[in-house]
Amino acid sequence: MIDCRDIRPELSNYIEHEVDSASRARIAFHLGECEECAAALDEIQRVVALLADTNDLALPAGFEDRLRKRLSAHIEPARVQTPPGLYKQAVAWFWSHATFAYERTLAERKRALFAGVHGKILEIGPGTGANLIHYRGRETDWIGIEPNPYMHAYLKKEAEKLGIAVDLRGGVGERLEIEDNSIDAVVATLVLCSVNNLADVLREILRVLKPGGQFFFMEHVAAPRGTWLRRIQQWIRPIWKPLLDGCRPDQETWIALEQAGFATVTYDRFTGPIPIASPHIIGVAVKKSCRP
Amino acid sequence: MMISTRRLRDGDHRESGADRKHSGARPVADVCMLIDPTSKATRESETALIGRIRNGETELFYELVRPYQRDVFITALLLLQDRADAEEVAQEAILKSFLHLNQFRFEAGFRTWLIRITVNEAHMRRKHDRKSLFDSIDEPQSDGEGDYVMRNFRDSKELPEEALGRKQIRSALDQALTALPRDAREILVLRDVQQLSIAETSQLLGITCANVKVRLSRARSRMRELLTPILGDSILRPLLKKTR
Repeated sequence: MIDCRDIRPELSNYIEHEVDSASRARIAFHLGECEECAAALDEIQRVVALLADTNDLALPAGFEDRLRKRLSAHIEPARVQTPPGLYKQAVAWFWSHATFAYERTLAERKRALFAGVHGKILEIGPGTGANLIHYRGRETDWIGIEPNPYMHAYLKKEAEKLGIAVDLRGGVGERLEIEDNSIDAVVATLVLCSVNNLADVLREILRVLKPGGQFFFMEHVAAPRGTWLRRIQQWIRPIWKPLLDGCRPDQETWIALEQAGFATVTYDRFTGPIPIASPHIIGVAVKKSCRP
Repeated sequence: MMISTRRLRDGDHRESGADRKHSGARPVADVCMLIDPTSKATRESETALIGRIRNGETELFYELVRPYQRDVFITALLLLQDRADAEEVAQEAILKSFLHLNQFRFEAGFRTWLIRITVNEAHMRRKHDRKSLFDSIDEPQSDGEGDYVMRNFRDSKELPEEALGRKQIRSALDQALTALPRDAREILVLRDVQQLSIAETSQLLGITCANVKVRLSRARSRMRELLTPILGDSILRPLLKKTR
């Protein structure tokens, strides 16, 4: 005769197949005979189901914002320690005055890239307007999102000189105040290396692009793994990043682009004229078109 | 997570019993294999993400942790029964997981590791504030049912009386969990709420698999006793009906 007292402690394991086959048969037989034990089993199953159902428990509102605030000291130390005003002014001056040689060397590649840029254009991080020259003589509807306000004056001056109408706004690439599916072409050159959250920026780009819209990019990127240059990039990063406005010399931007969810990502690699950050990629990523 | 249909089907015990998604049927023994419930693809992408974060792309940490924030919070909430403490513990656990990411060995999934840190943090918090630990079931805490934000249910067709039923159930569950000793509460949260496998639970708590089963069996039986007033009650019916 099987005693209920022997069966009860086994019910929890029984519902999870955690009893051997002999015990299983013994318990099953008893459950068929004993209504009380069958009811006990049923109730334990209900308890398990009730515990598993946490559908009514939500994260408190603003949890992630508070988490970001708490982690900010660790995630972006360089940014936090930077004196904003003077530093950003210096960065703006640098981009306006010290990048001629770089732009001249890459002018041909950029011209070829920008030949495909048309329609409603959104440029993220246009800086002091180094790319504006490539829109000259074309009808463009151009919006720029530039977080450094000290760049704005340089860019507007450049636009005026070239006769290009610009709609320049503040903001960041991680949260674009632009409508969904409204942009034909997004442009970013030497920007993705410095954004706070690359994945968020790419997600935003995909959001604002029209179906079939294109993202044109040119970025310096990490050297191949295992090379001396890669080691140097990693080694110099702690100094490089705060000095160059958050720029990461060893970012594997192409991987993020390939994983972002574009229908296609096409790019060339080349060696650019920046010491240590010489590996570059240039190319186009296309958002999935609506058509089947 | 909806109530599992398998677990509530009448007469289930006569055939196969309830099934657990990740444990599966395996030979009964005192040793148990470590089965990682995270899918292979998720595991791979997590491994890649963790590598990049360790490599300096620290901003990606938010992406790594975002899918598990709620699990961490719920673990802390059910262990501590206080929303403010739970948020504090959840945030501290996530911060610690970031600061100690270099110590993560990929032996268990990142989620399991994160839950382990949360359980430890909750334990530390309780040491600070012992008074709320063993409150009797007869003395419900002031932060009862009204404190819970009703979530957007996946089944938007839920009737008002079902929502009310949920509130009552949550309140009863909270009172029952509060009445349990710490180890019983922990094992229920890990196994039945967070659905960790027996092996993971054993590793996480540093006890044998046999011990996990014994503790779990006792904790479930005790929960059953504490919940007796609602288990046969009409408030459960609308929820249970949906699962049949």
